[in-house]
This record gives sequence, C-alpha cells and structure tokens, in this order.
Amino acid sequence: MNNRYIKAQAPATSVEWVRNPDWLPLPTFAPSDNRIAVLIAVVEGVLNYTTIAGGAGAAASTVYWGDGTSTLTNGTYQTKEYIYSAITGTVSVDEFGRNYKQVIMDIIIPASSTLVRLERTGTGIYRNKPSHYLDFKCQSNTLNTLDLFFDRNAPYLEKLDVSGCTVSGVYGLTNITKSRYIRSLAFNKNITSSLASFCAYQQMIEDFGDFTTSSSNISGFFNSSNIKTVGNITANSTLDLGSLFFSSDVRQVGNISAPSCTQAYRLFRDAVNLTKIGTLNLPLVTTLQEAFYNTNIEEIVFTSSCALITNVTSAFVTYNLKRLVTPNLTRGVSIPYANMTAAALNEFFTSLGTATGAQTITITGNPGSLTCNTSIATAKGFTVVT
Amino acid sequence: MTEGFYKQDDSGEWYFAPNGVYSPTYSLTKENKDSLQLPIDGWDWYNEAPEAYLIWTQRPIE
Repeated sequence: MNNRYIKAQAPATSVEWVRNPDWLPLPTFAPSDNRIAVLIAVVEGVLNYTTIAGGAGAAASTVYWGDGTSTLTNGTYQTKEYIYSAITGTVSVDEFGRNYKQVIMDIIIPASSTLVRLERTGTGIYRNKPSHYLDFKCQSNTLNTLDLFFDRNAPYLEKLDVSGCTVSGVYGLTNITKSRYIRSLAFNKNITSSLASFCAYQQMIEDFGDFTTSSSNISGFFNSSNIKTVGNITANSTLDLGSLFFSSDVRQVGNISAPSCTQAYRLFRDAVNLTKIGTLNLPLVTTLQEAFYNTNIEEIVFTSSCALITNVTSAFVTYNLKRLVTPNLTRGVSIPYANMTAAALNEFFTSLGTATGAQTITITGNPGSLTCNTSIATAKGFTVVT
Repeated sequence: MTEGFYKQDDSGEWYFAPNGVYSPTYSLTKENKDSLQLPIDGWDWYNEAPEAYLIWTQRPIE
C-alpha cells in the first residue's frame, strides 16, 4: 500500500498512483459481463471478512469468495470469514509490517439482479470491523443499486473503478467517501443518479482533472476534502451544486457549466484557499446564498444571465474579490472590504439588471468605493452604500 | 470610527454607510448630512454605532 496521491481520470502529467506490484491482477472483464471483482488482503493475526447482500432466486449472484468456496446470494446479508492459514499463495508484507495473502472475490451478477450491497456492518464480531479491500472493479449495465458501505470498513482500499457501470447502472454511491486511502477513482460520466458527497472527506485525491457528469445531483461532491485543483466542470443534468466544494482545500477550478442547476447554496463556502475559478454558466440558478462566502477568490464572472437569482445572501462576502460580473442580476449584494477598483465596480454595476423593488448594494471599504460611478447602479433602481 | 449612516430594514438587517448612501432619489453623504432632514428612507446619522447594530453584528452565522 503506497502513499502517493493520484489524479482521478486525468492524463499522466503528474505523479500517478502505481498499483502495488505484489498485488494479484484483477480479472479482465468481457464487454457483456455483469461482474464485480475485488482484491482482498487476508492479513495474518486479524479478523478478515467481507459481507455481501444480493438478490435471491433468479436474481441471485454467484459469489466466488476467492478461497475455493462459493455461494449464491439469497436476499440476506452473508458474511465470509477468511482464514489466513487456509489461503494458499505468496506471503507479502504490508506497510504496517503485517504478513498478508491475497484472494480475489469474483461476483457474477445475473441480468435480472438489480441490487448488490457490500455491507459495512456485518453482525456479531464482524460488526464495524475493517475489511481489507485493496482494489475494486464493477462492470454492469443492469444494476440499479450498488451500495458500497465503505465509510469505515474499507480503509485500505486504494482503487475504485465503476467506470463500467452505465447509465443508471450505479446508484447509492454515497458511502465510499471516507475510505481515505483511495488514490485511484474512476466512474462513468453517464451515471445519471446521485453522486452527492461522493468524494467528500477524501484525503488522498488532490487533482481531479476535468469533471464531466450526467448525474442529477453532485451536491457536496468535494465537501471537506483535500482536493486542490479541478478542471472544467460540465454537469448538464445536475440540478444541485449545493456545498460542492464546501470547506474543502480547493485552490483552483476551471469553468463551471451546469445549465440545469437551480441551486448553488454554499457552493464554495469556507474554501479559504480558493483563489481562481473560471467562468460560471448557471442560467437557471435561483440561490447563491453563501456561495463564495469566506473564500479568497479573485474573480467571479457569470457568462449566463443571473436574472432568476433571488437569494444572494452573503454570496460574495469574500475579501480578495477584484472582479464581479453578474449579468442581469436584480438583487442587491454586499461586497464590503473587497479589492475592487472603481473600474471593477463600474463593470459590476454595468452588468446588473433592473432592481426588483428596494435593493441595496454595499461596497464599503473597496479601493474604488469612493470614486466609482454609483449612478450606473442607481439608474437601475439600486441603492449603493459606500 | 463607527460614525456614519445606519439603517435597519424590515427584515431586521442592518446597513452601515461610513461614507454615503446613493439611491435613485436621494444622496446622503457625511458632507451634506447636516443639511438633511434625517431620517430619510430609514437612514439616520450616528456619531457612534447604535447598540442595536452592534448586537446584530454579533449574531452567529451558521
């Protein structure tokens, strides 16, 4: 188990994860396979187990445990305990100095099966004990539920690949997020179901590259994670960008295009190291409450109309702001003690639409607050506070 | 220095303008304040921040 970070779905232009050469290779899947393969370490002197739940009868999956035994799923949770001494194969040593052997759990999923769970909570002595998944791959075009309850019980997992799960083929991928050792992550951009909080709390993935997704919900995707850079985000079907980067360590993000999104509450809130983002295409968004609050962002430029936005509460309270362009915005905003020159403020005023009722813009403490042309805004019905 | 124009709107939110307030129908500046019949549109001049404003600024932000 090495400790180098990786890029998720990115070209090899930086340090990349290298699979441990001692590990057994996962089987190669045929294009028609509905299948899961998991490399599992069987560690000497500790409990080694995995718990699975799958369909029953005609929907039963065949589970080859990897130690020569197998079972059919039966609609209940089934736990397999691996006995180190009974496993054949080479003994390796992990980074903690422990001897381990390896098995590959291979799950053959019938076309009629729609649910597979790898359940974190076994029962009795297995409950909440960590399993030793190292490398996980799933391919299916029939599954609509794949629950990976890895939030505390797969701490050694380094690679997760569900890129072979097609549209709506994967669902409920919300509990992977606390497998903190994950360094290689691949999922299918055509997944339409929720990816909410999928990479939340991740510690090892720093550079995500471009993020293209068809998911309906990517709220909290990078919440509280150690992510540093993300390329362009293209999320044409996403309705919810709430808390996408909330309290993360993100520094730079590319252009964000989510033409179906209606809410971006706390989009970047408390991402205190964020300085640069690209342009924003969010024509249907209605709330930007706290979206950029407590960041160090320098420029916020919308290329889409902001006419539908009704909530900008504390949206732009960020003290390094040098440029703000919000075409057709009709609501007052507060940008006190930011870093906007008179020219930047005039540009911002020019971008505004007509105020909806009584609307106040606060620009106190900006370098240009006393020399900008407030009449640009007052002519549109805004009151400007300096 | 906390002198300036203060206003509390109907929702309870406070505004503080240390220099001026510019609206479509009036302009309030610290230079012309003495010639104004305040309050105007809820704006009033205070030589020090009013206590209600100070209390509001200490409210927790979730």
